[in-house]
Amino acid sequence: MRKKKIQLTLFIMAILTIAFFGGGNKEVVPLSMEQMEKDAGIVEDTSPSNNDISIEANEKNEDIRDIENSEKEESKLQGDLVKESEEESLGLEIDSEKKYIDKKDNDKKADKQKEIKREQTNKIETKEENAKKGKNEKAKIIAQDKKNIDEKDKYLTDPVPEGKPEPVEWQDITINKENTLTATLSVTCKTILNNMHLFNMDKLEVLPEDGIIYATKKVVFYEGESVFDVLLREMQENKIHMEFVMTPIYNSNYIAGINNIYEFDCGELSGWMYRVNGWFPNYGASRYQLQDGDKIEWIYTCDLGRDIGGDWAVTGGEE
Amino acid sequence: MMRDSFSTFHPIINFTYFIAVIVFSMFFMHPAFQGIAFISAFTYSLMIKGKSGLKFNILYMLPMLLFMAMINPAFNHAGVTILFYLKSGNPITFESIIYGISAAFMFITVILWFSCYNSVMTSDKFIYLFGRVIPALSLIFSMVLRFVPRYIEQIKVISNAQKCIGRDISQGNIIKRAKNGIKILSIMATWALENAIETADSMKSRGYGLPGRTSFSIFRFDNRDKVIFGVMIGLIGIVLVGAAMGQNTIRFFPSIKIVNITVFSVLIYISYFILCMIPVIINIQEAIKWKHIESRI
Repeated sequence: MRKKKIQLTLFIMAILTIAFFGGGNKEVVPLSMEQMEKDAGIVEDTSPSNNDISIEANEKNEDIRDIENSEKEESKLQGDLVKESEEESLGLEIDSEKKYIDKKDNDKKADKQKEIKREQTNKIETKEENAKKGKNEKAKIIAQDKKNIDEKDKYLTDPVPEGKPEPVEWQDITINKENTLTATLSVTCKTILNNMHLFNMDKLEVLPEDGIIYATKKVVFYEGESVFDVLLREMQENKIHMEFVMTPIYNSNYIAGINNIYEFDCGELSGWMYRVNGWFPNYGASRYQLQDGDKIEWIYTCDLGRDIGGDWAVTGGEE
Repeated sequence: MMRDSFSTFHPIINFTYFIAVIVFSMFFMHPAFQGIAFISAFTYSLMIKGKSGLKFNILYMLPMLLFMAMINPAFNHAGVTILFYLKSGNPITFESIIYGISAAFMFITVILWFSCYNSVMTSDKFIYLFGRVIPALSLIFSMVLRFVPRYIEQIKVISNAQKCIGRDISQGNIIKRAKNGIKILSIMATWALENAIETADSMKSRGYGLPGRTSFSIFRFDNRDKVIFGVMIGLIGIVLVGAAMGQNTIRFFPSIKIVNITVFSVLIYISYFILCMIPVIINIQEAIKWKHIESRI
């Protein structure tokens, strides 16, 4: 009897280990610099300090991407991850940007030819460093969160950094329909193209080939309206599907899906985020009051904003 | 209402049949499959319960179906075909309406199957099948399934007894009625507790769950059962092959998509239809046989 029980426990543990280590590829590939730049193409008048930050983030992402590329290459050489290579080719097919492909190819060749051994040692080191960094960062974030608990407003929003607009409550706002202003709006989901292995294949038919659901366009809005109001009106006018849910605890509407691409469709950390003038606000879209000439971008993330450079908004406060 | 001869078959056949049809109608959302399952469940429930079954279906199942079909598009806005917008700004889509109707049908079908299950799989059959393997669990299961009808019966008995001494809920002013009602409930609870202990004691004293104990009813797995069992396993196999080939499901979001209908899929539909209709076919065949014998006398 006891022997049987022990055998059963071992069996279950073995299954769990297999499931843990062999549970599919969950790595998220961040957006490349070119893709990001193309996103941010038109507007130049964002504040300089802000630009620096975003460039830094881009560079970081680039580094990570390189490492990941080399990793992929290696696994291919070992020939044990056939699936991944398939997905990669799929991603390449869909990707319309030649530059990007070229770059990727170059990277691959370089990685192949250049000293793989050195790369390996480097990689291990960077990995360890990254892990350490990650731990430290996590501890830091948790400590800060504890410190900030009194500073949060009644909708659980952390203090907004200096120079950024404070959230306003949509209940208090009266919209002045006589004063029309303009902003630019775009809706993109390019990061899915890099992460096709995570994507829900049922939704393939609604995924645009270039990842642009709503190309950058000037839109008119009334004074006092929020980012959410503009998105809702434009999506309805252009007959693009969009679903949202009111979340009273954050006093804001949550965008569940645009163009039938929903949250969790590209991994469990995926969903829609928004960026205004290059900054990801750490509060909901219904609480962001627009100014004249603002640049709104709705961007799909596969990794809580880390792949599109917007992780501060998530770690600082909930979207 | 006719005599249900499907329930005279061996319990293992009844049980396999119900498990198969209930699981299949829960998982296979393909319109053809849903239609087949609904029609069969409806026919069989009418056959078993007659007029009261029809009344139950129309009075409770129809409003439930409509309600469930309406409630889904109010909360689910996925789908590519936008019909119109709600006042809040969320879209109502064709796909979500179809999904609501489909889910409602599935729900009703399963309820109908369970109502048939309850009248075919009596507790002695269930205990015959599982009394040895899982004695405690099967006893609890069959007792739980009997709870509601049994309590309703007992409440009627208590209420009639109270009526004799003028203390029923239909007697006196409103406060008195409430008092009487609470009194009846308290008698009911006392009886239920006492009854549970008595049942447990009596089962124990009769050696329930001990080895070598026989069942209340004795069933024999004869040739008739063997034939039906073989046919059933074959049909279930074909339907499962269809499931493995993705013939039995439908994708609702973002757009409705079903596998193209081929000769093979028609074959699967036919075998599913025969599987669901087995009790009905048996009953009709039995009735014809009976008529034939009757006319010869």
